[in-house]
Amino acid sequence: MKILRDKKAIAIFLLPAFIVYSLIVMVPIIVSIYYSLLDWNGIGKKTFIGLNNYIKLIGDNVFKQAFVNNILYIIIVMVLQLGFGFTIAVLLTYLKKGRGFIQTVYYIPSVITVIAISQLFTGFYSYEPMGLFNIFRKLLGLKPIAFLSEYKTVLWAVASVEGWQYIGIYMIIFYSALVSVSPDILEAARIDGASELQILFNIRIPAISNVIMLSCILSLVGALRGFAAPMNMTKGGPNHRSEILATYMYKKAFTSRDYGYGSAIAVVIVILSIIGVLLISKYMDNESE
Amino acid sequence: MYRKIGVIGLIVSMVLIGCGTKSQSTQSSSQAEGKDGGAREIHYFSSRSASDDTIVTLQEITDKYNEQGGNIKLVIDSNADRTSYDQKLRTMIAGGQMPDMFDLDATPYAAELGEKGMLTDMDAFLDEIGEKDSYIPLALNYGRTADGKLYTLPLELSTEMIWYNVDMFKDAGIEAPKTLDELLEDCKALNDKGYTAFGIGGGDGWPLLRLLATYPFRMTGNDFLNDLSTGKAKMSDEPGMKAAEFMSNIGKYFQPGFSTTDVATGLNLFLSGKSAMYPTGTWELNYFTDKNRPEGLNVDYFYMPTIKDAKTSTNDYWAFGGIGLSVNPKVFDEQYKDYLTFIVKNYSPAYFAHEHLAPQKVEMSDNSKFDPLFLKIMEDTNNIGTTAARPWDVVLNEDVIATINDNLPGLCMDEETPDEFVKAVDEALDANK
Amino acid sequence: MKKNVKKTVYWAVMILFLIIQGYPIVWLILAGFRPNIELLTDPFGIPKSLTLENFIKIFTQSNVVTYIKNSAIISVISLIFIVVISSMASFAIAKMKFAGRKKIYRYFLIGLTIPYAVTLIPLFTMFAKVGLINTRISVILPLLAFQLPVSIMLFVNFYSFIPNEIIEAAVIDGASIYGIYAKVIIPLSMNTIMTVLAMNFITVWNDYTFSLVFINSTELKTISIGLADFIGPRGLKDWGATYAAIATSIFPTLVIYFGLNKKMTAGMTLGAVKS
Repeated sequence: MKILRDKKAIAIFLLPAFIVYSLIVMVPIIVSIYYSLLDWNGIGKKTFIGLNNYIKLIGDNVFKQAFVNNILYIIIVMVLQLGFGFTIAVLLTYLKKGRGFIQTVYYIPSVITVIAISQLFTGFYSYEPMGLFNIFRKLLGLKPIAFLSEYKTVLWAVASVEGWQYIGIYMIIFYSALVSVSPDILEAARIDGASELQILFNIRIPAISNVIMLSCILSLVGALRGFAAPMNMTKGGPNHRSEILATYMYKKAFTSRDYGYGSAIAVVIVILSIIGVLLISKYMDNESE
Repeated sequence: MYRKIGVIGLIVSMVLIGCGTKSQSTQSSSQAEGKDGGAREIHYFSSRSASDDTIVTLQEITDKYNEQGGNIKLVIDSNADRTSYDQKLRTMIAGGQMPDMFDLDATPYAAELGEKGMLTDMDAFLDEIGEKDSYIPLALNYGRTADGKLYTLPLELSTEMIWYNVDMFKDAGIEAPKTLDELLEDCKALNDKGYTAFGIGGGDGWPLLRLLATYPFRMTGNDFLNDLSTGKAKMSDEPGMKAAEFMSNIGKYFQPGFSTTDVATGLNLFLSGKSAMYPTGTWELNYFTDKNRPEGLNVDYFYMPTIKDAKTSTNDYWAFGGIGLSVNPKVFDEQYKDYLTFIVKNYSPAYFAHEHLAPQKVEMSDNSKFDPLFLKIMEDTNNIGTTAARPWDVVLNEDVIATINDNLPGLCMDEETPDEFVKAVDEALDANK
Repeated sequence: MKKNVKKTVYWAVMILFLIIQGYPIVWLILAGFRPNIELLTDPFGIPKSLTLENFIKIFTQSNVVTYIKNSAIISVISLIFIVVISSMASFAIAKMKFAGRKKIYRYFLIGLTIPYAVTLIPLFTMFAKVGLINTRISVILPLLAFQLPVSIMLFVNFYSFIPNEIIEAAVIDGASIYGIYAKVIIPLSMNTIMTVLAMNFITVWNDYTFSLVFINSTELKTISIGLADFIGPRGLKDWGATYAAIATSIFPTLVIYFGLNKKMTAGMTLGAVKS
């Protein structure tokens, strides 16, 4: 079809998206790399200092902490989203009535602004006035905990918020994949006397393995984008115990006005993201084969 | 083909620019003299909430100014979240978008801007209009940067004190502490009685900073702080160590979860009888008056406790003019100057009428309208010493303050030793010389 | 007997999840109707009294109405551009033939992983240079750009299901390539468009980062930034008003969600499941 090779038309269709996207998403990344080589406080002169910011990064204990926290943060978020999402999805497939309602309710948190959610959970975690979680602990006869102040709990507390909020999305993805597995195969297995657990592990999970893979990547990338929840709940504190790379970058650039150093952290985040991209494109290559 | 691409690019950019100018025109550039005979717009970027009495007062004065023939429209953009205000102001200025009027503390940042000629010199302005003597010196001088320059006009006069629950103190057999050692003993006595000694809004940062600064202020006045900022002193020097040790000692008596407790919750803990002490300033005075306080709650206050052989006297404590008003010199023309002069001449009486301490001397004709507590505090400020304590977050570089804010909760919770704390602060001081 | 136990456990788990996901939202909405003092003293008790006071306060004494208007304007403009631009690009990627088609697609997909935060510093300086700071467009542009990848992914996915025969038939009828896009493809993709709109509305309406950094004036602030307005001196917060504002701000998202939740969930799965 010649008409589908019309170069002019291709350009007209593609260029608006290409220009906006390149200008706003890609160019800033390149500019970030340039800024990361500067010593610049926003009002003064920009001084070129080569890789000094990166050398400083390596020796920066807070950066190391933020990096480790970020990995933990990602793991907690992924385990919550994928674990709960999958479990609920499997359970939902056994439900005959009221599934629509349950799905609707499970999904609601995903549509609410993270500012509201973090405000809400700050209240839930509170020690005084007693928050919901501590009311539960009290009922169970446990001592209340100041979740957002304790070194041991703060990262978990903050990461769980983002983990919890998007469970619904993964529930729906998993559910749609699970119901697309042919019921005949499941029925045949049941007649052969397989238990539901066996069916789950031997038939259903292998059948949707590519969806599981994609969900892992989506969840990973989503967790890498995390920022607003820790920023609003703890600002990375106490003593950087809930600091992740994005909050540290933001604070360095906009609070401490060290734009060069902030940009160097941004570049590290981009590198991590690119690893995410590689995973995605690998998945897509498998898909198209 | 390339021409077509050019055409599309043009259309896209036209659409984009179209949107841009449309939205921009709603808040248009402020320098332009009002078009169509409209009023001159002055954009005021404020760190206070729109319902704050400073803003209400400024608005009242602007109305009065216009009644008397002026033609100014004060456009107020308020950003009540202080952290985000500071960040925004800095990024606006970095982007060459300094507001016409804005709130600024006398920080090293202000000094830096001042050196570059980006702030209006208020000494010169006040001398020119002959109003310098109308100000209460401690309010005005609070706005001086480390190099002694004045770039801001104060809008308030605040002092800070610690409120305490009289009945709890009685129950624990203690009285208002005079020294920091007594304060710690009192905390212990209250704790033994099962009370939460201190309810503090640590999530907002500044209440903890004030306590940290107490020891050095009593030992050296503001000298240690100033030396820290110029690099002559280190946090690991004696006053700094003392400060860190004090925080590590008193931290035990804060309510659990203090590091994310906001000020409103901290205040409420105290007002609902769940904590025995609460540090705050005159801006919350309203909550403690006989009229507004919960029934059955007996409270009193004390100012900053002292130490043995203190360099500063007991009537030297936290007192300041609050974040002040700065003016963008690029737009400071005759019309603006006339307007600002009018503000200076009329501000304090109007602000005082809202039951606040004012930064300028105010003739009080009839005090029967005022709450007795307000009058009592005012009496206190008349007897205040000459050395007002300067808040650390105004004097030290923002990165150092960020480091202190990050590390203080850990120190108070005993997760971090005083040695580790001073080391972290010294590293930040070194990095920001 | 054993079956009954299993059934009970099953329902217990389902209802537990229901509470975990639903209770916070109910609490959040109710909080706006509770007096400030109750939120400070007994936030998780059974509400003793409900009041409209907070709402009256935010609608009469604050700029919440302006903020909602701003959020609405930004959302509508962004959504129009997102749909038009991404559906056009997707059409070229999915249906037209040119070298590097796949590379272009992948180039767009990189954006799926880029966190907003890393572009803030450069965007700020770029926008400042061309005078875009504190304009609506400084929020619209980044939202548009960052939402393109996911929208393109959805459209490309849908278009690949449209049989080429339909296009061929249109060509034989003498339609131009633009005619095919406007008169054949767009009418066919109404459902996908709704999905893209619904999903993007949530993101755009909830935007916090870009409005926080690029908007300064009260006149242009959006609702998610306006939530921080109810703070008095030195951080003294009015919780009743804050929660009322939160409830107001999530109301439109809930309406859209309950109205279009099938479309939205369809969008979520469209990208992921296509076996």
